[in-house]
Amino acid sequence: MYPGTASSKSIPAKSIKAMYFKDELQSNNLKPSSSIPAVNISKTAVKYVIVIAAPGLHREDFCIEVNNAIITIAAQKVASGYDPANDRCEYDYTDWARAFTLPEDADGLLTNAEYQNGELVIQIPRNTLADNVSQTTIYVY
Amino acid sequence: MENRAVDKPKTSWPSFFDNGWMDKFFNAPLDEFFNYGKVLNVPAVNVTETEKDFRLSIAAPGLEKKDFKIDAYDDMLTISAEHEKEQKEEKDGRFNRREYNYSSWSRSFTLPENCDFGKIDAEYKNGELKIVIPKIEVKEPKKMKTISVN
Repeated sequence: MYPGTASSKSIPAKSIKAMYFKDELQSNNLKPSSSIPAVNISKTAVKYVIVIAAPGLHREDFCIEVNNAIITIAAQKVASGYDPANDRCEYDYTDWARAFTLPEDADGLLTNAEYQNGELVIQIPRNTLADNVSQTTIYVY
Repeated sequence: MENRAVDKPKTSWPSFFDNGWMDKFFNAPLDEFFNYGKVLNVPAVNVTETEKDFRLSIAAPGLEKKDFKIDAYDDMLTISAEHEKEQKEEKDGRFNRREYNYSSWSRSFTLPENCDFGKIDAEYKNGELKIVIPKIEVKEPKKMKTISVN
């Protein structure tokens, strides 16, 4: 499927604060929990890599947007049918959103994303001439 | 299903330096050390019970089929995973932020009596390990009856 036909759900933007890559002093509601997946962010010489542990979804369920140097990743899926009252339920990643402020040298426009083996891997190239002002939607492959 | 913690074997000489924290300090990224409590090392589990079976679903993304080991011994179901690739990845990139690391873990569950141990089925798909444990009917213990002597 090429970008022109990729289905992209319009997921309503939630009131989430963007978190800087390395900021630990942000408020508590941004931490991973049973309904917000955990994230690993690493940096190499040429790119930033964001890996989100969100198993049990499909690539169509994600919505990634870069706007004003903030990357917002949201996902929504029809509920899986767990009954939290009756069973042991430690995770439920059917509806969440996380946002990160991009560093100055991250090129949001050239971001690519891939959903593989339950992990959403987002690669953002590093470029000193990066332009992060314009808004882009990133498709997940 | 109740969850039973798996304890590390206790050494006869418990020591302050023995818990591996120094090792972690020198080998792990500093972020991970200072956030140690926040890094998720053990994946989350959902357990559902239906009329026919129990279904476990473990959120362990980024692993491979061969990394898992599932043992049913006595009434205990142990699921563990060991992933090799992690070490290489750490060399070419430095972590800015680390919230999870599922490369090595183990979880155990006590199974109820009415489980069919021989027919436990597991599948790894889309980052979730799904285990289906069928139920069997447990024969009720025979009722006591007192017979009077004539």
